[in-house]
Amino acid sequence: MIDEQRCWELIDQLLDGSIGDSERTELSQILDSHPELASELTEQLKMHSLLSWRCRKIDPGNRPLLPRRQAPSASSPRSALKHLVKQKWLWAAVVIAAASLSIWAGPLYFSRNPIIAEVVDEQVVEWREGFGPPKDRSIVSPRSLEMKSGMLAIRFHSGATLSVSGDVSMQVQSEERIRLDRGCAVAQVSQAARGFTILAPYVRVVDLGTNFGVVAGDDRPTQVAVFSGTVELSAGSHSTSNFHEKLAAGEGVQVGPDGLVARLMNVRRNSKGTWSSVDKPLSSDATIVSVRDNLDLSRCRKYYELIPRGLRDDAPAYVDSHAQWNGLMITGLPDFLRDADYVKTFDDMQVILDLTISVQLSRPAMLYVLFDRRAAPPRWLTSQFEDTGADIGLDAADEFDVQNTIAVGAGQSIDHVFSVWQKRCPTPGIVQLGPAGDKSWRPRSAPADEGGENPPRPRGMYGIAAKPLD
Amino acid sequence: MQHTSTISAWSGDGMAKERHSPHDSTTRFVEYLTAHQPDLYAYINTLLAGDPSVSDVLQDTNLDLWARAGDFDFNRPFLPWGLGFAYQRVLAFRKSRGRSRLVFSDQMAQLISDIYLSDTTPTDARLTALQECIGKLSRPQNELIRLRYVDRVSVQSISQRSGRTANQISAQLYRIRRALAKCITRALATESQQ
Repeated sequence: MIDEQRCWELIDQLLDGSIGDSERTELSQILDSHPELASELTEQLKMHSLLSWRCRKIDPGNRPLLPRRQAPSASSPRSALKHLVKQKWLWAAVVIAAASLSIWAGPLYFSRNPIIAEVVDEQVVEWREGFGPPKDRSIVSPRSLEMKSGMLAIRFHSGATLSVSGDVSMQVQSEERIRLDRGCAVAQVSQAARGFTILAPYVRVVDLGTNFGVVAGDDRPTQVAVFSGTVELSAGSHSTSNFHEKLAAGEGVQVGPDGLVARLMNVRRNSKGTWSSVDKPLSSDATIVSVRDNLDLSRCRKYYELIPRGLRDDAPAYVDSHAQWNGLMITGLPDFLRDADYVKTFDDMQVILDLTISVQLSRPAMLYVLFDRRAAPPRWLTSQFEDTGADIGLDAADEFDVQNTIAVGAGQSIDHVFSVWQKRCPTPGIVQLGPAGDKSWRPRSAPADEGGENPPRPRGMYGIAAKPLD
Repeated sequence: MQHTSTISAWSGDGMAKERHSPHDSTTRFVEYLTAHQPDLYAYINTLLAGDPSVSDVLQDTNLDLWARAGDFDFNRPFLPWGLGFAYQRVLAFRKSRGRSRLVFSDQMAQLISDIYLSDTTPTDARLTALQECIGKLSRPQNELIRLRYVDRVSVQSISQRSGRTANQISAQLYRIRRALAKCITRALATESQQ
């Protein structure tokens, strides 16, 4: 007995791109076992196609019929095509004719395409010819946008805000979905706009109410980092494999064309809302140029965020929590730490006992480790570093205690005290750090009666900072 | 379509064929390719069931057709020739996508293609009829079609906005698409009788 209602519901999920893997399998099984549905299915798909064609818009900023990619190389069998592709008049003829056709057969009944988003910020954007700024800064769907450089922020009526920067090629497909062929994007999505989707070449990212970034390129893996909340990842349109994963705050991965997923180790964001992964060391302005550890993807998907000259009161301490560094008194952080480069580590690293972190310094520097005073300092710390005698505080909200929230300003709401340890590094290079604890302690979540004579010794993950010696 | 600047020549097998100057052939090929974009799109979109890669597959088909433009026999209809390339591109896409991500089995895809191609009504005629048929929809039906196809809002989002279940929205869309298909068939039949 076929549940036809269910079948057509799944078809609609398939058509609007929201179908999940299990539903895809379910639909596939229904169709395989009921080939008599083929006629009805074809009629539905054909009508969907006619409606989709009829409602698509052709304007100067949207070239749905034209090759977006370069013609193949001269050595390929298509070399004869190459010069044809370059004949702009030819493609112009196709566009004009197609546009005429579209107008003739197109949206006569629907008087206009709705505005679904607005450009809310534009900084030194250099547009590609023919893909210039939308009229009146409003965006109708679908709309292709291509820029060579600069930063553009778009606010969708759905409640999502998207910032794109650099060399960008994208198509706004609806108020809930964009296709990012190339470039760097950061999405800030309200709870109301959950489901906002970025389709990149090798990965599809569906937001679950969050702030996340995607970097896509023609021949490079697609990178995704989550700054808060959670996203759902699945294979992109160019991907040759299948996968389905969730990423939480502080986690980042890159996905190649073969579907291979690798960990993003370093992330850097700037105040303009753009971000980059720093797989190769940063140059010039940063003292800490790279942080790596010995954990592979099966053990950890979190990244380190490098923040040049960013350590100050209320600076976020970790990539996966809201905890902040603060001075213990209202006078704030010690002067020698203020405006240091620092690294947002991740708080659950406290339970990894074989952890090794390599910090790469670009210049002679004083390297600081901010270590939780609730625990005895480990040997790797006491043997390489000296205690400065200065302490700073961690203002950490407790998710189980609504009374304990994050405060603003130095000396406020300090929950834990951290000692500042320092190591003088007279030459650029790599310094290795160890785990946040040893076998004498266990994670805060461990039951108190475990471990016999060793009582639980909770602590937070240490922080890392550096300042140039000069 | 007007044939201009043609010369007749005898081919080796004794059949008369039209030949065109290269420039004229190119122009005519552009006209054919342009005129049949809706047909190519509808066929590809049907076989890919709305996959976001439809425009890429259409684009690749266009490139293939350009590359083989010199092989096209202007004495034969363009559409069956063009749809053959489109089908090959769909197969290539299915192969690249991997079996686990395909909803239609090879047999089902072939069956859908056969059913689709059994109706030779040009897509532009269907689109013209569709225009009239949409005008006959009720206001709520029209609003739903507008949301889904003009605004491209997902069924889930429409469900959240309207307070109805996704199941109900899908059922309504199914009925509307079915009604439009019947309306188009009737309109085309009436037209052919006139």
